[in-house]
Amino acid sequence: MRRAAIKLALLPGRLAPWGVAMLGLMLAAAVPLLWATDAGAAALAGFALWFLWLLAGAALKSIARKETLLLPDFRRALAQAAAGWALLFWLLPVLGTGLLFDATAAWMTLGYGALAIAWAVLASSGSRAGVYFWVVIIGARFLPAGLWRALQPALTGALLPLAALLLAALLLRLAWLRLFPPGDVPLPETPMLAPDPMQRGMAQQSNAAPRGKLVRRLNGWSEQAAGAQLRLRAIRYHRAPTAARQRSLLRALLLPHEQLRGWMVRWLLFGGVVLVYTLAVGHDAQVGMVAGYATFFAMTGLNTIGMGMPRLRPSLGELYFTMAPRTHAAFKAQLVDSFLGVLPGAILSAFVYTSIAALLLAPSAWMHVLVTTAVLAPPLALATLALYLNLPAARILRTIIQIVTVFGQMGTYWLLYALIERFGPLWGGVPALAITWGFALGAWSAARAHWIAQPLRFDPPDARSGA
Amino acid sequence: MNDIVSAPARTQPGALRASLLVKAFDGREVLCRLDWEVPQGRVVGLLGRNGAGKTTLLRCLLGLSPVDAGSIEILGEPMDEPRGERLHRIGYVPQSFDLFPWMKVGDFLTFTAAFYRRWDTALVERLLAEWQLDRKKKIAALSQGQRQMLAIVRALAPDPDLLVLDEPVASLDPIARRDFLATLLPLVRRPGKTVIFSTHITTDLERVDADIALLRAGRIALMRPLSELRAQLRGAVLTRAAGFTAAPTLEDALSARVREGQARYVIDTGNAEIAARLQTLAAREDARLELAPLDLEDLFVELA
Repeated sequence: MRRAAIKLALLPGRLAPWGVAMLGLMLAAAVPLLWATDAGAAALAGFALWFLWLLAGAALKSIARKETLLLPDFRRALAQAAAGWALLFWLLPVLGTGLLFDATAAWMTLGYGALAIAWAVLASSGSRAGVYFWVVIIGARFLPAGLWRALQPALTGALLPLAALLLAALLLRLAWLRLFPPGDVPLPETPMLAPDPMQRGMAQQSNAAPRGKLVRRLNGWSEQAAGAQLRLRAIRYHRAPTAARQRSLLRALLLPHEQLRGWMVRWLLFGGVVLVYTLAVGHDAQVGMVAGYATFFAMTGLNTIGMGMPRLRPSLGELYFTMAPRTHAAFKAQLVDSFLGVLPGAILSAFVYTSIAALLLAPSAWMHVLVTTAVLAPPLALATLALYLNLPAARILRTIIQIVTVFGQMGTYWLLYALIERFGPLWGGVPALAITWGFALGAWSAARAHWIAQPLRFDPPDARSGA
Repeated sequence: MNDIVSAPARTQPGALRASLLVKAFDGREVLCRLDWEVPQGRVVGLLGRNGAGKTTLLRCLLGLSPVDAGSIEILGEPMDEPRGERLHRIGYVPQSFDLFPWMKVGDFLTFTAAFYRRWDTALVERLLAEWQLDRKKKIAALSQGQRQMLAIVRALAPDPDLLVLDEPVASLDPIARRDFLATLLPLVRRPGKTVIFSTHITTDLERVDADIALLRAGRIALMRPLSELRAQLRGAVLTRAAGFTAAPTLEDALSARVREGQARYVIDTGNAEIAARLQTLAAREDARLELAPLDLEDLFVELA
């Protein structure tokens, strides 16, 4: 292998050294047990291999830009690196399966392994098509027993792995087109998903802008309303400039999709995910737990404030001149207060998603779920915004905070649901209202003060000398 | 070598005054105790090599990048805080306009105009039409040159008293560049208007007859009206058969270097003594002396 191919093959290790080391250890631990044909060891090895391919996909995504294709012999080097990976993490396990079991098992590993690899690469390329696999896997649980029996010969037949191989080739092609699209990439639709100013070329534009026609059409519909709202608020502010109107105009600029059409698009797209999740796990879980998950899902949008702020920094310079604040602190206060505009959408989403969960699982518990959501969603949204407002730059720390926040959100919901169930809305809900609001207001005022006290920065993240 | 910063006559409050500015990145000082004063009503071209710190200086002056030490006054007030309406008297065109990419051109201008009491709608419409900027297009869909045009439109519309342009024409084609200068000149030649722009295109500075400020080694090494530079600065070349390996010391020379065996100097003929010193040096080194006028590009090459 040439040097460039070796560098490409080692890229996942450079990007996520700890992840690769952990997965390597898992593989090393699983392999000796495989000789005892241990099912758990096989699952562990499969899990580690699948995640290794996810990392490989992520590494490929990190260099996915049109300029990369101009590197001399890039495609050949990539093909060689991919061949090396395939040899180690696909064909070698196939060989092992053949030695430990039989040729049929090896043939199946070859086909389904390829499909799993293609799925991993597609999922890490940012394509939403990767999610459809989960829908298929979850949906399979609901197939009638008769249909399963009818499908049995096809599932155990020798031709299915071949079909899996062909499907894998198709998925890899899809992933490639996602990573290196031949045409123009879609334009950014929201400020928080604006291109990263420190990236250039393809990578700059290939952020989370959706590419599906339906989603883009829906977002376009929302954008029309956002534009109209911005123009209306601009006229109102120009006629009579007040601090409240300025905040309202700022919200229209920074959070364009926080309006009715934007919410409806969000509910349509993400309500479907909540619906699938509820159907998948609902019959095994209590409604409070599923509603807790739905609440967490409603709060995920708040994350864009923490993640999106550094990307907004260059635009803040323009905003600074436009708003002409008296002091830096006043400027930051106006900005931070305008972020509160994300709360109505998050709270309403919580009502929508928890209602979907309740109505699908236990319609009789709907009122109970509504009361729990009414008590908890507003302070929970405020506290979550407070936590995300000052997310640290260190990725690991940030991820830890996000994970803790997610479990905190779900856990609080479950607890409150149980409290209201046990003591009723008055004795269960009112004390919870006092405690959660107390915490949320405290967290918000502290986070707000900290945000305002931070030095004002207009440079893009990690920017050095701008000479 | 000497720095030649002429203190401008102070007839009215300065548009800009910076004292002892220090700005470092990772321990490397980009601005080293920089002093600079620009009176109102001037067009100043800020020159400097790549990496000299022009963008850093302009961003520090406008409060977009914090300084490590020193003080700044803009339009007669300290720049420690934005101080409200004062910012509306400043127009700024950044080097790369990657701003609000999710917005449409029209929405961006509507949003911005809402904040200004002074907003020249007729000028905006004229420039949008002349520069063929589509109001319905997203900013992200504009080319770099078109974004720069939009940034210029936005900066000119409020009729600012101080216009700061960071390489405003770098991405413009020659026609757009001429259009821009033709638009800029009548606007800025009105009383009290000050323009500071950094550029590498010295012919543009000659076209607008700007004062020249040269940023070198973290300081403003030269600040003079262009006409004065043309009239007073000369290139002096010493030539001899054996050639030179190092330029002999010439007191008060603005630059001294050896190129192709010749010792080359930039001198200020306003300094009466230097001509005599140069003659003495030529005689001592047994060299032939030639004096030649320098255009701005030559000056930039010699001094930067």
